[in-house]
Amino acid sequence: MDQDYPKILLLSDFNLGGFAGYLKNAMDISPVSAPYGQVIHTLLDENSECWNESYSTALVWTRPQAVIDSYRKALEFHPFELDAVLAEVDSYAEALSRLTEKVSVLMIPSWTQSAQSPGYGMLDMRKGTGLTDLLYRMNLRLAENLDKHTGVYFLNAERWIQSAGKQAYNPKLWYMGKIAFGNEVFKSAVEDIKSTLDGVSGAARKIILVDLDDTLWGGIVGDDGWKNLRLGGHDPIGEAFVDFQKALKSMTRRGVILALVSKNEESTCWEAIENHPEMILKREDFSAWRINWTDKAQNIVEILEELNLGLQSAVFIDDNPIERERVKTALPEVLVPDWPRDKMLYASALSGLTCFNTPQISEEDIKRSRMYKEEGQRKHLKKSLGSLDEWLKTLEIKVSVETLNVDNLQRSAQLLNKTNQMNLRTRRLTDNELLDWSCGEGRKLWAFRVEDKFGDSGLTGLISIEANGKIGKVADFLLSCRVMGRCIEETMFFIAIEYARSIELEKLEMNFSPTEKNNPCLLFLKRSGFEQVKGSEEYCVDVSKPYPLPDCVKLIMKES
Amino acid sequence: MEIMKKDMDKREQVLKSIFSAIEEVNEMLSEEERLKSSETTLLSGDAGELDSLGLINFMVALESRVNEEFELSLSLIEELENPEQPLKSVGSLADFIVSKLEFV
Repeated sequence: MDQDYPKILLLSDFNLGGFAGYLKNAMDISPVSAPYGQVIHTLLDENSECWNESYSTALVWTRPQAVIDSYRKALEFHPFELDAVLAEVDSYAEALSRLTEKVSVLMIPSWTQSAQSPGYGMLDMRKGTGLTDLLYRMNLRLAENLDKHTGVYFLNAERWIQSAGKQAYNPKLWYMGKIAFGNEVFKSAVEDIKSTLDGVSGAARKIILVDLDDTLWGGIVGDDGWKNLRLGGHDPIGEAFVDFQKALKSMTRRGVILALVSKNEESTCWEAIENHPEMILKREDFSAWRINWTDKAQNIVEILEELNLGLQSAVFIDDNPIERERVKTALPEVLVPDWPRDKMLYASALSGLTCFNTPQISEEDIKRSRMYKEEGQRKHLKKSLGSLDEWLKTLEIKVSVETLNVDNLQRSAQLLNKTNQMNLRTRRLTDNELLDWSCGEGRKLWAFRVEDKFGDSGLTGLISIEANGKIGKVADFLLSCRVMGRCIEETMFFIAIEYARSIELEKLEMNFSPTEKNNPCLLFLKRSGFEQVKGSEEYCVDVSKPYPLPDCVKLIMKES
Repeated sequence: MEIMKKDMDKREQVLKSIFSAIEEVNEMLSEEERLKSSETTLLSGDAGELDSLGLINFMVALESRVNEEFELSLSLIEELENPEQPLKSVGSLADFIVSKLEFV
């Protein structure tokens, strides 16, 4: 298993036993099902047996006719008042919102229409009459209500139904076991739930490393020449390659990074990329590349190192099953999807990958592709310069410091929940929980924005301390891997130590909580000269001792 | 001789459908609960290896396969009351389905 998943509470008006089995096998967890058919009761009753235990995650999957009585009547062709139905949806949403006080992640599949629902035929989409129209409005209303709460994810169950096709419903399952959907629906749901939890815990994939020949275009550029590649034109295969490139380009707009890994002559490939009139992807769309005759697994490791990304961030796409097998075996943490032989299925295979889903899409995500390209340029400069200090000085680094506020709260919480490598405690909190925490007595949290001559990396670091008497505890220290190793770490501690000194603390203490991924943070603590408490993971800084601001950093204080 | 071979082939095909339904149900079972694709695997009754939910899923999965492969419409739930217990094991179930196919 890629990661440890939380215990999930399942609430439903139908039998989710089989679904729980799929969930258990896919994610190695033991979901707990509340007795089915008692959704509202369980939501409203604080003393319900299922609350004897605590859960961090819950899924509430209902059929609309089971929880919205006026919709059930509408299915029997009773006339309905739209406003009254929507008011009932509001009440249901209110009951659901109580769960947000108990769990930090709540998943609600959207309502779907049963195949047995008779409908009004050609009037089914008419406002005030049609049942499909009514259900769309109910879903929208529920989505609007749920949107007010953080940590609530309204999942599109219609997609699961569509992908299951004829297998989506089976009346026999309902009559024999009160199972509302076919197994194919449950399998798709499990995929989405896994991707939601991966996204929430910061384990979404961030980079696609893609091959060229017969992957981005048809043919072998070294043999056929770029003018003879199958790409675009009046050719179904050529069109399919163009669509696949468009799909990849779209991914960059939601923050996914692209890199090239190809066994080829580099100059031949760039000639094709720059000159072929139907190429959608251009040189600037790729943040890094290795076009050579070296082992692809080795090339992938190098690219990820260059971009400061972990193996678990990567997806490798190649038409050649031998190359896929090699990467799968050498780098098991890299996701290597089985790739269709049929070129016309490439774009749909890409859209079927749920591993890139994140709980929010921030401006930083949208800019990420460009920022990683800039990171590649920085690394290139690093190679061409001698010492690290010299290189850092040429970067013209500016660090802006601000305390937590409404404008940076969302991004700060996102960073807190996504950062794995340079992270002292890997604490995960929702927006509201972070805000509540920071308002507590003796607590202070700073957010750091970083820019240099290559571009703006945005809000990429957080440090927080909690003062108690003469001692300050570092509650969080985390920095995006995009800006690691550029003296931002030292700048963050400079701020915390200066503050500690100003409020007359004697020392700052920090407990390092080791995870599978945060070794870079431990290495930083060790090289930073902080005193390690013998036999423990605790580090300590005497704030009376000088801790200078790094020479290469220009500091901008936005708020005190 | 020719007829016997045909019957054997049919039984093999039915077993293939049963094993495929077992595979589908196994996907939702834990490793220790999974059924073996064997004629001696016990399905229902006191010694049956499937719980009620597993049995329902198995019956529905098999009915849909038999319908698709042999155009035979079955309602296996009704056979749970059958004193001959056709659903007792994979082998008895295969015999039962083959006997139904003779009338198709």
